[in-house]
Amino acid sequence: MSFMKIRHLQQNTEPGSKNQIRESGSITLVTGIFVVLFIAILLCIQLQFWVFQLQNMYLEDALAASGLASAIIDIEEYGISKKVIINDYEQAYATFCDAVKDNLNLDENFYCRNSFLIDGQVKVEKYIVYNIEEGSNENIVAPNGKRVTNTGIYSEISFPVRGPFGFRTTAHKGKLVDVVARVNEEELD
Amino acid sequence: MCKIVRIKCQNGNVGELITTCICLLMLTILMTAYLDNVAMLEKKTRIEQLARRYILVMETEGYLSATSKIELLHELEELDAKEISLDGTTLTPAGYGQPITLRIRGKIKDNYEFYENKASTAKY
Repeated sequence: MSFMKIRHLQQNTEPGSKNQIRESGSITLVTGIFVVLFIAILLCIQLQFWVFQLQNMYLEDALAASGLASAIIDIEEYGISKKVIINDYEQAYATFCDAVKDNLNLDENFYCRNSFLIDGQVKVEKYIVYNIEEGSNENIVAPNGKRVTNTGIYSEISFPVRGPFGFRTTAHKGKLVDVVARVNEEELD
Repeated sequence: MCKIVRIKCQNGNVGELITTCICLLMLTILMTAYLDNVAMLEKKTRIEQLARRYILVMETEGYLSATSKIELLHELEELDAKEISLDGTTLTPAGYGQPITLRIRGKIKDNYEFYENKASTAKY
């Protein structure tokens, strides 16, 4: 049985030696790249989070605007009895759908054309018209928990959401809008 | 009597300096790109808010009046928007309950196109 003597090259690791300097240089480079990558990832996450927040705000605005667009009261009835009433529900719903399509940039089949957040078909889950008479003390509550005090519309939509790392879920958004008649001071005089 | 001072440059110091400079350069590029994106998003948000404000004005007026149009264009220019177009916007009075639309197209920073589309019904 023969034994071989393994010879190791002795390295000079004294402070200030060439190897020591090369090692510290490469450590600085690796640490630097790591820090830059870490900051890059943090900034990307923050930017994406902000975009999601903005999209969320945009969706809420679009839903409120569409609800308001469909809140068309019966003017004749208002002229006669000063009651704010939405009579034509079908017309109101059709107007709401058209407004949602325009405000969220959807195609005819309610698919989003160029959204960062919506990834599929938008569905109108609820569309409720509340006709409340002035001075009524009825305790009516909308599905989002808000008390309905005036004639208004509650609308709710759902849509698939695409998140980071292929994450996909269905989101719901609901909004209550109401119609209040504003009487000009000139009219009162 | 004269003392000659010899400054010996240590091997590796220049390498470390270059490494630090490269990292700092990368960080600067990263931060510039980030701030550029943030500024763009902020401008887009402000344009969105502007569009929302003017569709509400249009709801009460029934259309985008000449005065409102001038004000809107002025406010968009203040946000550095270029090549602004209002094609497709309701510019003639619509009756109660009739659809009204506000469409704003333009460019931010000469490169990035934006498009705002708001729809509602006239209520005046």
